[in-house]
Amino acid sequence: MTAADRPAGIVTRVLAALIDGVVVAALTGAVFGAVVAGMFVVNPVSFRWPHGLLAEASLVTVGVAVGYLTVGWAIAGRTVGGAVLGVRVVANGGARLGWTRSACRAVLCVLVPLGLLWVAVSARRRSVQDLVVRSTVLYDARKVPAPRAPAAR
Amino acid sequence: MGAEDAGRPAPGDAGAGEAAVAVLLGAGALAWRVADRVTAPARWLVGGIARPIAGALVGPVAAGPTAAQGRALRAEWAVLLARTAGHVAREVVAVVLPALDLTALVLKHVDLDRIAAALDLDAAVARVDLDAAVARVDLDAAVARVDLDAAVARVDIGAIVDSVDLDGIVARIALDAIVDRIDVDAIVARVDLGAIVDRVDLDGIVARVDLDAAVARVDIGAIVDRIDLDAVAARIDIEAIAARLDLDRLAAGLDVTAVVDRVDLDAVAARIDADRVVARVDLDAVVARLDLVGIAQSVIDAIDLPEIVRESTGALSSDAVRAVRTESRRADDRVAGLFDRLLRRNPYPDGPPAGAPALP
Repeated sequence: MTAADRPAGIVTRVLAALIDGVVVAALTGAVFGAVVAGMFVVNPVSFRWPHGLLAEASLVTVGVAVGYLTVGWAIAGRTVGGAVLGVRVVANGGARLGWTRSACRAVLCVLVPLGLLWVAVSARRRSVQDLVVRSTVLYDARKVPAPRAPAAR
Repeated sequence: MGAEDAGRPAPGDAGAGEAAVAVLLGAGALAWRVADRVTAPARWLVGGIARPIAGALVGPVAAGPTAAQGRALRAEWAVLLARTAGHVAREVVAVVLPALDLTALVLKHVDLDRIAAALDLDAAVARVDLDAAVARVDLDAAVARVDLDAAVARVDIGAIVDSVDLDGIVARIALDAIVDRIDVDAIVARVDLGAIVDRVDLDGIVARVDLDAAVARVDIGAIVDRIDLDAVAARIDIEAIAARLDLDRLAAGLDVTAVVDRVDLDAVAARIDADRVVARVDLDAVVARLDLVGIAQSVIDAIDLPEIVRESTGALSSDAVRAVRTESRRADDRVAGLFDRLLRRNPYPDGPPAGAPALP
């Protein structure tokens, strides 16, 4: 096992989760803004800023988070937070996670976010979600490329 | 043919007219001689007997007025006798001629060659009114009696043709004037073109033609400019032509790559009204027939999307990101070491991996 193939630790994964949380918040805000804009366009006279939509907003947030994480892990093996911190999610065998297992892992991460803390306790740096769906988060094998030199003139 | 006829010119020969004239002259000479002999006794009476008697009777008075009267009387008598002799001669000739074989007499006594040699045939012919003579001839009847087939069979056409200066003849012919007088439309209307074409060996003709050279001389642009393509296209039965085409065989022999290379696809695309094309497409039906899930999966498998995403995240490759990653990994190792010590466990049960931090 190379250094790049080592499982990612608790600090890196928490930082990645925080970045993903910011992305999910942005996506949720965008969805909320789109809905509000639609309401204004449909009936601008009686438009009032929506209040008391905590349950609905929470549900939308959960849905956006699950969808975002599922797509990221199933397609690229990483989310924006993983890309920034240089980690990727793979199955225990090293293969891509797949849609079903990505969706299950996303649901568990959204509903049981504290399961991530088990990474610090686990000798193999696996969270509760990793144990359930049999996945692993590895440091990305690719090194961060150096910034491009300016073109010669 | 008899011996007499052997010396005569053949019918239709150029000398037939001259011979006929000679015979007529000979017959006239014979008649003159016969008349001379028949009137000889009368002339003897006048010149041999009556003249001496008259001289003896009238001689003494010949020197006077009586003599003059006598000479006048003599002249009258001479005239009277000549008339009488003429009448007698005509009567005698009318009686004698039918009984004579003039042909035999002429052949026996007349030297026709000599007569002919003495004749001024040119002057005689000049006096003949040939136009009137020809006008009286029934040429149709004469031609009808001629065995043209036999005559033509005896003609050596090859020798005649060889002797003819065709170039000279053609050079003297005003072909333009002749062509102007020809009603080509009428001639062509009477021609059975179908029969002619059936007899033509088109394969043989085409095999001898240097089509490359012929085509090289053709001004295709000028021909195309003169063609009314709309009219031509209107007369074409496209459906019948398409029904006869073996499109599979044509497509098999087509170098599609070469054709596509020659097509200016940009120009073609610029002429396409994409909105109209899309408006005619039943997108719902198309989408309903697509296996979107399968396509998406195959696309993901084919394009190695993770690699692309990793490439794209290269935009994040900055010193700050690398610093964050490095520090976060160090922090991971410190936290892991802390928990290893708290839990009194071996952090590398399978041996330290490459790049792993050293144990404190």
